[in-house]
Amino acid sequence: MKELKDEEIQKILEEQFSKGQAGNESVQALKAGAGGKNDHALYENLFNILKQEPPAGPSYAFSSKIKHRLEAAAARKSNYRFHVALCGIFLACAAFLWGILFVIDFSYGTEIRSVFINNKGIFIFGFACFFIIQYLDQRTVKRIKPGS
Amino acid sequence: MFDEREVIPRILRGDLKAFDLLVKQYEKLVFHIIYKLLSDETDAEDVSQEVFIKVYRNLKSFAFQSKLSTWIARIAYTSTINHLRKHKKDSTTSYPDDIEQYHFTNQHPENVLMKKDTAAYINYLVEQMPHHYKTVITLYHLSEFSYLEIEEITGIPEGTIKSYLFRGRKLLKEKLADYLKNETI
Repeated sequence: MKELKDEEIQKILEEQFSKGQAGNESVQALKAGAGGKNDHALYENLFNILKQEPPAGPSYAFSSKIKHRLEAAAARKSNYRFHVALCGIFLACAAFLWGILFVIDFSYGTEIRSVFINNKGIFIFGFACFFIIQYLDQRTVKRIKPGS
Repeated sequence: MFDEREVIPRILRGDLKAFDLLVKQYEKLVFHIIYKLLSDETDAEDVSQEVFIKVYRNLKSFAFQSKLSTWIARIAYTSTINHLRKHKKDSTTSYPDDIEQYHFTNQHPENVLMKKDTAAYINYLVEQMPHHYKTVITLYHLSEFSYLEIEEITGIPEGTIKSYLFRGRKLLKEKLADYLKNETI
């Protein structure tokens, strides 16, 4: 009988395995043919081993951990949007009140404006602090993986 | 039965229960690809989680032009390669171009608790192979992807995939023959 080359054996087994027609060569049969005499059986055993799932697998709560991480990320995003919106509302209200003051009492409005201009450093620093705290908070929470 | 055409639109509407179904459907596929490349259960679990987070965030870009499993496997593969690069756990330059010249560690199988376990011995050898050999062997045999799908996942040309598979299997077959021969003596 003509001895098959490695390439031919692999091709035959690929077709057999893709059709689910592969047999199960026993280790004893392989041992009997070991040493290059039973390449087909060796390859068949190899194909069977390679398709076996490894003993390690994802943890029992794997999908829950991912769900918790996504929920936490969504909560962080929403929290951040809430704070930015709050900041925007505060600024809009301040601008509105200032406008009203100009209408009611121009000199008082001018006085408040001068207070803002004289202390602009404090106000800019306050807003910068607000955004830095938000940013650091986001980074810290991201680092701590919920559910892991 | 998992129907991706029904589940994906639900996920895109923010349904996390639908995403949970997707995770349960593909968690083994993703974990096994990563585990085979990293050989570390804890790292594999962490990278698998990152992969599913990426899947969730990028699902809107999935246009049903390929199978969802192939698309997810591609994310898993690239994430694992990035993880290996980041942690410098693997260097492709340390392997010879010719797998026939590749030498496995001198540790005898008896020393690694696989005296009578052929499967454990083969897995031990696969673990030591260069990562592109491990990848194609895992994707073809364990995950049952076709050559074209493996090409899509890894970006390796089909001819090279066939060559890696052939040479990898031949080497493993020779090692298996030696192993069984020694066992009978």
